[in-house]
Amino acid sequence: MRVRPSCKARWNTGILLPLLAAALLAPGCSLRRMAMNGLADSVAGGTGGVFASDDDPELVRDAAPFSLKTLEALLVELPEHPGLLLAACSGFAQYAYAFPQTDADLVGDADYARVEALRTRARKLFVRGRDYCLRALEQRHPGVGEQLLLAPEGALDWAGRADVPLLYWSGASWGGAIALGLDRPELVADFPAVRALLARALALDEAWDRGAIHAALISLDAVPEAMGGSRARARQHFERAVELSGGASAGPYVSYAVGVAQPDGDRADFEHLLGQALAVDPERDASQRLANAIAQRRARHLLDRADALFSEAPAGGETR
Amino acid sequence: MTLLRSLAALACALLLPALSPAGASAQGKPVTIKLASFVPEGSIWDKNLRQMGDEWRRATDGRVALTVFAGGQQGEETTVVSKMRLGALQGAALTVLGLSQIDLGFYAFAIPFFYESYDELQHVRAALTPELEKRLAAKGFVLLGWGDAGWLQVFSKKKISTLPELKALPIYTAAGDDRMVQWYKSSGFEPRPLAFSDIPTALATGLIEAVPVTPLAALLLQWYRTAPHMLEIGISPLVGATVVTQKTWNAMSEADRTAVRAAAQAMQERLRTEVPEQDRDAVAQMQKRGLQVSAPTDAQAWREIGDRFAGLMRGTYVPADLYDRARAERDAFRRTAR
Repeated sequence: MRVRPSCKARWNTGILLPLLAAALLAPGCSLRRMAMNGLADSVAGGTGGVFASDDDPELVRDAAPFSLKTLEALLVELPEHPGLLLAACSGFAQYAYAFPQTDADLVGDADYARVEALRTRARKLFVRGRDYCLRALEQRHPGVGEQLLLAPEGALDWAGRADVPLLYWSGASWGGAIALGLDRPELVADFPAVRALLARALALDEAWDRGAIHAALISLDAVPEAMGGSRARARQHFERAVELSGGASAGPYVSYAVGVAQPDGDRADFEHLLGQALAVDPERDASQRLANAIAQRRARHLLDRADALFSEAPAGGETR
Repeated sequence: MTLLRSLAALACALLLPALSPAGASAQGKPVTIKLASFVPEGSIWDKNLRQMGDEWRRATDGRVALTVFAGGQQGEETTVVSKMRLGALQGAALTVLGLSQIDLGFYAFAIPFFYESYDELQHVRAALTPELEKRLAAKGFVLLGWGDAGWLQVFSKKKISTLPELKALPIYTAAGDDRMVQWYKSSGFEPRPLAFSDIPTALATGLIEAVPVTPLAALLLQWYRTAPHMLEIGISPLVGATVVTQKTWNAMSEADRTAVRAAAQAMQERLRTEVPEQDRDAVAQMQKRGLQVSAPTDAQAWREIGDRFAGLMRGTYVPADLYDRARAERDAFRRTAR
């Protein structure tokens, strides 16, 4: 099965339960496998971004787990199905980001235990997604998992343009897990693998999915210089992501505001960027309705918290 | 009437605390501590700081709130100390480098080859704490608690196991410390003073070939990818501490200060356990990804150069009285421990 090189594969797991039941119950081994494969192809091929185009995040929050578990049920039967592996990887990564991680960010400093519980859950979901992607990568090129740990640069030279969705979601899910696992040496150790995956994806198809790779690289290059980040590169990725999305995606504005403007203490730029994120019309690109709804929810929350996020010297200074 | 008035007064007295805005301190207004740190958001130290802040909030019914500015976003340690003096920040989690900007006494924990174990360090630190608290107070700061950051080892681009091999490699030193550079040179090293943020490029280009760093930091910063050899030499612990300004401290009630200090002490104890574990785990993870670890084969030579370096630090970096006290405490600990 050929994976469509489009982010519309996101949450395209609208699945009909009867189909699944029929596939599982089909008599005869080869007939059953054929039915499973047919179902898997249709599930992985998707029903046209039914989740991504939804403007009701709460509906998606409730509906997505069923789809994700169905994917996993199919993967028990077809553990090497590339389309299912990619759909599971991207689905778990997106669910982790959109719900537990965003929920944790919205709680903020108000309840440490709850924030930790949500972030732990999000991290585990990212790791689960990453592992499906790694399984798919291993199918595609045996030994690549080991190479990504030992020598990530050059580990992906074999990849072609059709591999871009897999490279992207491998990097996105792995990066999400690391961002939430900076206190876990076993995760932190593989930050270069994330960079290698996204760099290779970018080299193969720079404009993929209206700038999704550039959008992911904003956060990656916003890390401190001592960790290999670069403000100049983060800016370039931000500008290109906005350009490629035609200004219809709120995500790049939020990523740049949080990754660069906030750490740099530039409150004016921070507020301006988040204002731009909120000004994006969610109807302009139906395929991004859900992503924009989540990004705009974060933008509103960040604007509300701006006083706490920036330290400014009071007039007159401090006396002892 | 008198009784009624008394009852009314009593009711007012009982009700007032409940009716006053949540978060009002004994002095009438809540205390928000904007605290700078140099550790990445989400790292073991950052999580501990945020947990401490959560404990402050709960233990003081919201009268003391903490906002953490992680990852060095408030500038270098010198800048952060200045910002605290100006009142733009009320606290910071500093390393000995930043702490020594406030008082040189903190260099007592950065003397190379002076400490052999965390237990030894802990003993000396406990003994010196009252004196260092006094010195900090004289400069307008309050020490809330210590924070272990790991133990410095040498990471290098090629394998080294002897002192002459290290001396032959260009090694990172912090920019702006001419005295240190001179000492390195006069002892036969090849120091390259650089900004911290320039280290990855300098390692990649070969401008430096060795850097002293803790294993956990080498992993977080990924420096071990370009410097895949670790000499397990245990140069010195990297000690940090959480401090707040005296003005902020004074704005809290006595009870709140007790709660704030208790949470900071609890963080200190957690880090004492967690950081050495993470350092060990970091080494194991890096080894899985190609790190080669070696032990020095000329231990005596390292001890000798350590002693020479310590001699330089006494009276220059570390005030002589504190240096002597640290040495006496360390030797006393060694006598009882052996």
